[in-house]
Amino acid sequence: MTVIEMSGVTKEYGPVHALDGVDLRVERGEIVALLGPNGAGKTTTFELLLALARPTRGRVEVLGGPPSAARGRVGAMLQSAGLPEQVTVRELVRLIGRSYPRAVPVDEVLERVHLDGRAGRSVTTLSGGERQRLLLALALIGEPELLLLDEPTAAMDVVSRRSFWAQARTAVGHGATVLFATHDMTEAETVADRILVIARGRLLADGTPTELVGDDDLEEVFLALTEELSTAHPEGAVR
Amino acid sequence: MSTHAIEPGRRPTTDATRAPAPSGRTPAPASPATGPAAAPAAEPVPEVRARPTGGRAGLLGLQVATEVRSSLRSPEFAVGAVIIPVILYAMFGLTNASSLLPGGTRIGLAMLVSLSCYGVVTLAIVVFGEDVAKDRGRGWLRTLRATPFPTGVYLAGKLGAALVHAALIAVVMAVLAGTAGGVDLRPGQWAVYGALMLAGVVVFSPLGFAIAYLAKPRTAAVVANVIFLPLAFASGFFAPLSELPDVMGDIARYLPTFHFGQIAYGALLPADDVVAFTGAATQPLGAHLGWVLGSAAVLAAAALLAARREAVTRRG
Repeated sequence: MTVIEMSGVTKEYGPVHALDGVDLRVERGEIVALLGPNGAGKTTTFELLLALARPTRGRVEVLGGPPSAARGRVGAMLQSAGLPEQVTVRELVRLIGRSYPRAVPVDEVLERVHLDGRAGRSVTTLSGGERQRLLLALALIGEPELLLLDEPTAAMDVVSRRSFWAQARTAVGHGATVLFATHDMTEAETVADRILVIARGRLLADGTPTELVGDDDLEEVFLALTEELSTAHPEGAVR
Repeated sequence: MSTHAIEPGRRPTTDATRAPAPSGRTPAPASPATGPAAAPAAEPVPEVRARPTGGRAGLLGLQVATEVRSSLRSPEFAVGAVIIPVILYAMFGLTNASSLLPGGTRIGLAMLVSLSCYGVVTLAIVVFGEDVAKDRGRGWLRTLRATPFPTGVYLAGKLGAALVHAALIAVVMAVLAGTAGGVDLRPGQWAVYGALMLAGVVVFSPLGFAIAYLAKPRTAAVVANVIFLPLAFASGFFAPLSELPDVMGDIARYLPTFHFGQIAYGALLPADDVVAFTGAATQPLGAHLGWVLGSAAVLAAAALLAARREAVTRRG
């Protein structure tokens, strides 16, 4: 079953073309990495999939319908996502869980992200990695069919990162699909079934890690792809 | 393999097998060979509207409870929102409490009304505005919008928590006025006083909401105070308009806070004493209501437009 489908999607913010004719399809059970330099259009892609923005042109479907209709079936971690103050971890997870049509028990989801020992603590006292795990708990609480993760492990140490992906894989084991953005090539190569490379709003490559890399190094491939676009379309020319 | 040859927007055409799935993972289906056009048609999925477990009312109740608990953990909130009007009443209301206005009303009652109005309007404008602006600034509203949590429930929850705090202000002020201030009202009048204070939070929360969405998050607290303090003075909450420069009286008639005060005084004081205490001529109740409700509607519309504009144009 197709979980994400974008056809000819363009998103313009005034003169800036954040996405430029993107075609993308993600099937159920896949873990897909979205790689791209800063300003490539990764966050815009997530915003369109979460109905936080509307495409200027093209069609976006999530779980077979418009993104806004899928909100109760999608869990998301956004880049620069924030948390409220003076609320405890348990209170926050319980509150957000109540907004979903169905929810994992609070203690269970906290245990899954290893925050059960912090349940009574104020979110303001959490470390960067713990905040990310709390955001993952908020993304997982509604038993999502699709997880959209925008640079989810940016503030995490190695142990937290491994634990994070173990939880994401568990969710996939329960039938979820994952699309995540990252700047970490190793993470993309080891975690993802498929890697998408995007730059200047254009999808440059789409393949399994083996297909993309072969005997080469993913970082070299990534640089080659994005530099190729820069050469073909000097700054400002991609519209 | 030379991946440089990958055509932009296309998958590489090698026949390499998929990387083995990590253990515990469901094997993923094959990726589309040539993009969406070649993939099987999407299986239609019935639209499932996100209905909160326990319903919207249950979610709202939980939101209010969470907000109230959260505010109790912030001592500065209790000081700013609840204790200041009480302290002001103790300092200025109780000292002249037994003095009488020409119609026989105790100054203690008039000051109870004016400082309670000040307290609940502060709560609605400054606290509500600053609180929502902070959530907006730290990205919590953005996080919420990626969940099925309805923005309306979020705002209603903030309002509900503000009503709880307004009730607290009204009760503490009433107890102080009734005991130390010698204010003696019939139960029905106390009920009217309480209802007016709660209504004040509701009608002025759109102004706080507007500040939260129209001002930059970091400046919202300053903007709220810059707006509110002149409003409070020009509305006669601290001193009768007759004791302030004439221009204040001219401005006051256009201020919703002035009209709200006039409604509250009018409900609990004889008309002559309202004039004597506030230094402003009374107007028909409908005129005062029109100003208060009209401004609330205009500000709510402005705030909704600002919130919508941010939702549509924000670039992540």
